[in-house]
Amino acid sequence: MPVKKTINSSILRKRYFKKLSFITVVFLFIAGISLACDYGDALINASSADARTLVPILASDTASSSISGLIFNGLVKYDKDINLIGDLSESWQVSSDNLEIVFRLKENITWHDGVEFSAEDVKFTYEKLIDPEVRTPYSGDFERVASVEVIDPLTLKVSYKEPFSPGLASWGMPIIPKHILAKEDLNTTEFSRAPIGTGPYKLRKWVTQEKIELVANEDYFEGQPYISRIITRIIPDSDTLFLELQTKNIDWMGLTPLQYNKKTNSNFFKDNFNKFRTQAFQYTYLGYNLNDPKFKDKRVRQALNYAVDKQEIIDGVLLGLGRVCTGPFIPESWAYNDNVEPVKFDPERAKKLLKQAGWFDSDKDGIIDKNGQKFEFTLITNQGNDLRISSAQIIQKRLADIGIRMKIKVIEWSSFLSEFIDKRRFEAVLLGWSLSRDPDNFDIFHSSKIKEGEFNFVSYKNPEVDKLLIEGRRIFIQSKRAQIYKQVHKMIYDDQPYMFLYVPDSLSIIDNRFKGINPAPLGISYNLIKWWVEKKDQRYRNYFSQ
Amino acid sequence: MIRFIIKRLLGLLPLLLGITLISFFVIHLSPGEPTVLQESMNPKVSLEVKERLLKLYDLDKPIYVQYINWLARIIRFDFGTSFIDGRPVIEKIARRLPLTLFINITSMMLIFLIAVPLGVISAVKKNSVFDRSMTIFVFIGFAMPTFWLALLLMDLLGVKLGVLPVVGLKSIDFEYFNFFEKIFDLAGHLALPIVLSAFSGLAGISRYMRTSMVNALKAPYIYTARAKGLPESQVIFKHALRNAVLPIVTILGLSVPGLIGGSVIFETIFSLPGMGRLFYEAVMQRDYSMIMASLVIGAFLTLIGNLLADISYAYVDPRIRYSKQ
Repeated sequence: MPVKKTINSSILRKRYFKKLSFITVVFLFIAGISLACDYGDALINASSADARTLVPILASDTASSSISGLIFNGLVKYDKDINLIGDLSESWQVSSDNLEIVFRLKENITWHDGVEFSAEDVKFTYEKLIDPEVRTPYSGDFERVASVEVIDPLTLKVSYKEPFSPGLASWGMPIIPKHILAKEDLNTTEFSRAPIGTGPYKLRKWVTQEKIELVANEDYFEGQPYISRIITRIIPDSDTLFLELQTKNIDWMGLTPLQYNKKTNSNFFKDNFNKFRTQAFQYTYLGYNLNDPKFKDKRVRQALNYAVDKQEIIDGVLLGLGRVCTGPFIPESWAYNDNVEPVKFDPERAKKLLKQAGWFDSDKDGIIDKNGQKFEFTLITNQGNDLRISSAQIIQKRLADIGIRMKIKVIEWSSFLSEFIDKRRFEAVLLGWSLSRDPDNFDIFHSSKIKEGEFNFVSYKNPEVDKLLIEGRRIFIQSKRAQIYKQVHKMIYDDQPYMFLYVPDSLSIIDNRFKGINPAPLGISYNLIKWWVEKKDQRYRNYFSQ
Repeated sequence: MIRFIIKRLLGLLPLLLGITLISFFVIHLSPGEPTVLQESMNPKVSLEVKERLLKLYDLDKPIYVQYINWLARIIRFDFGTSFIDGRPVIEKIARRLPLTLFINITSMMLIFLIAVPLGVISAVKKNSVFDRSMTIFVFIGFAMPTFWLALLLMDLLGVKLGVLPVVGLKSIDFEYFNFFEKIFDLAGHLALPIVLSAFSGLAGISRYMRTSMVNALKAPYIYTARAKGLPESQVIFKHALRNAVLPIVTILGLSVPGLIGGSVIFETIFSLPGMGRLFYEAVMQRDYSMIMASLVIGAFLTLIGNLLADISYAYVDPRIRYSKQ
C-alpha cells in the first residue's frame, strides 16, 4: 500500500507539493478523500476469560478461538453472505464421485517469520489433528479423511473414505506451521504462548489474565490491516466491563438486551458509540427426554408447544431483541425453511391435545393426570445464564396455566453436563446450541448418536430424518442440500423433540471513531482488517515492529 | 528450642499426607469432569475424541492409581501441568502470586497500622463516644458487601469523577510510561482494591486489640505500675500494650496462608490477575492438578503459619519458652 501511505504522510506531502502539477494535486486530493483510510490506532476489546492456548487446533474456548482466528487462516472461510470462499486456498475442485477435494493454494503467502507457506503445512496440520497423542477436540471431521496428498507445493489432494460435504467447511481449521512445530510436542509447546501464523495480526504480548496484544501483519496477503493494534483485555465481571466502557477504556463489547435497550441511550453513548444488532448463530430450546413416558407421545409435545408463548419470552427476557425459533436452523441459513410457521399461542388447543393423549384433571386438583399419575416434571438448566433461567420461569407459569407442574433446577455447568446430560438423568432441559455455518445436524438429531456422552441426548429417533441427514452429508451442491435440510427442518418442527424457543440477536457497541464497519449476515467482525480510524481521531499510539 | 522445631516439623509430614489424601479423593469424587473435555457442548467434539482425551489425561485409571502417580510426582516437587492449557502448574501460580502477595501484605500492613491504634484508644477510652463510633465504623466495614461498595466507588471515582482508573492493573500504554508514571499508574489502579480490602478487615483486628487491651489494663501489674507513679503513657504503651499485643502475634502467624489466597470476588470485580480467580477457575473447570497444587501449597503454609505463630509466641513471651524447655 505505498500509495496510500504517501497520501497520508503529511511530511511527504509538504515536500513534494511544489513539484506537483495542479492536476496531480487535485487527483491526489480526490484520491485522498475517497480511497485513503488511515493506518494506526488500537482497538481495545474485552474477554471475560483469558485465552487458554494459541495452538488453534487445541483451543476449545471462545477467547482462544477468537484470538487465534486473527493470527491464523484456514484453507476456506465464509464471506459476509455466508458463502464458502477460499482463504489460504485460491480455489478447490470436488471430484465427480464426491470423494476427492483438490485445493489450489494462493501463491506468495508467508508465515509471520518470513518462511513461505506451502501444502506441506496443511498436511502437517492434518496429521496433528488425527494424531492420537495430540489433545485436540477437533479430530472428528478429519477421521473421515482417507489421505492427504501433496501434489506440488501449492496443490493438495484430500481423499475421503466416503462422500462428506461438511468436510469442506472443516478445512476452515486454522493451519499451523510445520517448520516450527515438526519437532514439538503440541500439548506442551511454547508455541501456545508465542504463535506464528499467516493471519492479519501477530501476537506481540500476552500478559496472563491481563491482556493479549496483537499487532498488524504488514505483509498480510489481503493487505495490511488499518488498525495497528488489537488489544484484548481480560475483564471477568460484566458490571465493571460496562463501567470501563463508560470511561472509554474499552472500544468494543457485547451488550445484554437490557444494556442495549435501556442503559446505552444517554447522549454520552450516542455521541461516542455506535450500536450494532446482528443475528447470532444460535438458538435456545427446551429439550424433552424422549425416553420419559410422559414425553413419548408426540401430541403431548405439540400441546406444550401451543401452551408456551415464545414471543412473550422474547419480549420479557430479550426485550424484543430476538426472533421466534422454528427449528434447528436460523433464518439466515440457506437450510432454513420459510414455510415452517411457528404455531400460535393457544392454551385451549394445548388442553385439547393433552386430553386426546389421555391427560386431564380427573381429580380437580388443578394438575392434569393420567392413570393416576400427575403431570409433573423438572426442567434443568445450567448456572450462570440468567436469560435461560428467566425463560424457564415464564414457561413454568404458562404450563401451570394448563395444569402442568414444572420445577426448575439450576446446576453448575461441569456437573450439569457429566452427571445429567451425558447420563440422560433429566426429564426436560433448557439449553442452547451455537450453530456452525454448515447445516449438518447429524450429531444432534441422528438416531445413532444417542449413546452416553453423545449429543442426541434427547434420544430423538425418526428413520426419515436419519435418511435425510445421511443424504445431506453426501452431496456437495448447495441447492440440493438445501432441499434436504428444508425437509429436515419441517419434520423436526413437526416432531417437536425440542420446543424451539428463540434465536437471540447479537448485540454490540463500538466506539464511533472506527469506520468501515459494515454489518452483514455473517456479523460485523468479518472485515475487521478494513476497519480504520481517521488520523485526527486516533487515540492510541502506533506500534512499529522495526 | 531447635529440637522443638524439628520435632514439630516432622510431625507435619503425616498431617500433610492426610490432607492431600482427603482432598485428592474429595475433588475426584465430586461430579463433573475437566471442562477441556466438554467445553461448550460442541457437537464437533465426538464421543471417541472425549474418550481419547480422558485417556491422555490418565483419567481412565482407578482413582488410587491416579493418587499414587500424583504423590510420586509431588515428592519430586513436580506439580504437573494444567489440564486446561498444558502449562506447568507452578509457572501458572508463579505468574499470579506476586500480585496477590503484594495486595495482601499491603492491606494487612494497612490494617495493622490502623486497627492496632484504634483498638488501643478504644480500650483506653472504653465506652467513650470515640470507642462507640469506631465500633460502628469498623462493623460497617465488616458487614458491608464489599463488591457492592466497590462497584459504587468505581462508578463514583472512576466514571463520574474520573480520578481513579476503574479496573485492571495497568493502563493500556503502560510500557511507554517513564518510571514515575508507572509507579503512579500502578498506585492508582491498586488504591481502591487495597483500601477496600483493608476496610473490611479492620473490624477483626481492632476488636481483638481492644479486648486484649481492656483485659491487660485490668491486670494487677497495671495497678502496681500506676501505684508506683509511672506516667500514664508508660503504663499504657510499655506495660499494657506489650502484653496485649501477644494474641495479635498469633493472629499474624495464622494469617500467613491467607496471604497467598486471593479473593475471588475482589479479583473478579477489579479484573486483577490474582490467586483467588486462578483457584476458582481451576475448580469450575475441574483442573485437578491445579486444584491439588493450590491445596497442597495452602495446607503447607497453614501448617507452617501455625508453627511460626507458636515459635514467635514463645519468643515474645518468655513464660512459654521456659515452660517448654
